[in-house]
Amino acid sequence: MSDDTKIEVEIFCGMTCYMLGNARILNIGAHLPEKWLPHVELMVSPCPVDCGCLDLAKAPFARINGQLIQNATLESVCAAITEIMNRQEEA
Amino acid sequence: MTMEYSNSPERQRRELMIRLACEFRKGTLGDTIDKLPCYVKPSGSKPLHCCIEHDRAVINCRIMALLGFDAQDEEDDSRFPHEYLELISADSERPERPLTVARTACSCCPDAKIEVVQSLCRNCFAQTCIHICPNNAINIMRGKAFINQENCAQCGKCLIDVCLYNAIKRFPIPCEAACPVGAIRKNEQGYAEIDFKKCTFCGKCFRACPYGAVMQRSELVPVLKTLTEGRQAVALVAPSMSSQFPGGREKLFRSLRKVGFSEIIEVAEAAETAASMAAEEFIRKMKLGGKLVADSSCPAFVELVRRHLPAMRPYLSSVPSAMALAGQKARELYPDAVNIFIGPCIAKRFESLSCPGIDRVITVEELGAILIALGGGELEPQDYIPQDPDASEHDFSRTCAATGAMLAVALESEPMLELQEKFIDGINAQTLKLLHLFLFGRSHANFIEVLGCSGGCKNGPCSLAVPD
Repeated sequence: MSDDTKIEVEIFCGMTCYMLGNARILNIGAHLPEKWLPHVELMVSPCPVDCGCLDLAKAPFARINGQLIQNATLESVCAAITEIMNRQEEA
Repeated sequence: MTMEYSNSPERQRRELMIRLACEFRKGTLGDTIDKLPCYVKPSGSKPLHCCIEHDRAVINCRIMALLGFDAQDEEDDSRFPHEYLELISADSERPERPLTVARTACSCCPDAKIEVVQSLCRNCFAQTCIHICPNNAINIMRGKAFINQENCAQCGKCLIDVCLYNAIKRFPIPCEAACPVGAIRKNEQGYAEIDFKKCTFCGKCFRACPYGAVMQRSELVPVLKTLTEGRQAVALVAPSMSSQFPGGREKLFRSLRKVGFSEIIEVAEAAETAASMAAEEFIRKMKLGGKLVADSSCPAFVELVRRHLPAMRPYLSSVPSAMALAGQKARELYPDAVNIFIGPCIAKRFESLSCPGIDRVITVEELGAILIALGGGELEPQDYIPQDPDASEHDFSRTCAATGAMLAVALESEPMLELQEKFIDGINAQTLKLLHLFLFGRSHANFIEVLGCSGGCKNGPCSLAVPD
């Protein structure tokens, strides 16, 4: 894994996503190995859908390296990052 | 025992609150409330129970509880949610018991027991499990260790570092295991049932049930009606609120005003008053030769003492809670207003029934749904990044467990009195034993402060904040 490897983790934050689980995901830094932290760029963004929350069934949302994750949880986001990091480490 | 990770009952509960509040705002709740189960669990989605119809029936129970009705004692199964909704007004009577168990949601967990997982048992030569059991409950049958449940006293000696293959496990009934006072039990039909003579409304069963069968009876709709009918509403904001919402206190207060609260009272101010009163009471009692004072800030602890620790009743502080004091102040300042307490606690719902200054209680989850529905949010994405709680003049009380700190200050002017304080962080089976030790004089303290939830009020059962 090169030093300039970056994983963009985008957490979508409106009150709906916050209530449905993103409050936990925002603390993701505490759940990743310390050596990965310099490679993980955490961003918060406005909701990608119109949060009159017609799309409630799919919230909360996150995006990792451009790939949208629906019904995101701390565990699913961690798993996605772990998979990318493992791939990078093997390469 | 609670579910500290992302979990489906919590998510579904919040989703329903948001949907219900949004439909209410659009004025379509009466038309859509019967369809909400289908919106939450559409055809083709994976059922949690035997079939999607069962899932939808459970959601109907959640709606019933969200409307404030009792799923545990309801005998009329034929009512639709809209029929319950029609019974609610801004002045509807308050639920007497904040918790209910929906039989439709309860999975009738098997009896609690310790068992050998047969696929993991290696029938080793050591047979430590057999040797360590004081009741001769473990035998070898067909080449595997086996626990005779009739002989097993569930002491757990075989569980702790005995089987190196981790083949021996305790299978709990989560709600029963979580309840520190044995108030929730399986009934004859196998369904969990709350004994309200024993319940302290701490909400531990509510958090522990993996099926979300323990539900709280909400006042969300009467509060929505109050806010949208233009009535004067006062928000009494719990001291632990600063940790519940992103963006800080000022933005939260602006949001509260935006959704219809005309006045805001910080209960933290009353908490300082209550702590000061408790300190005065402690000094007075100690000077009269008293041996112990128990703080009365936590409503779950107060109910614990009233219902399960009669010997501690004489030592319970007579100081009203911060919520009661704040309600009193609100009533004096705004006599015609509806006073609505907001916090992460279920026991406060019960306590508020005997507080004349409190008219309604909603949880922080319910407030979140109200902010979404009534357009209270004015946060920027950056506001959601976790930060330290606001530093402000009332931070002292916001930390909870403030009385001990206040006492320490008060006792500086009373050099003859010595404070021996014990702080109990969370009520559970172990801390209950500790409380008995205080009563029998086997543990020395002259002031005890107990918080029902480990980590304090911010980790209450309806908290939005991430647990510590």
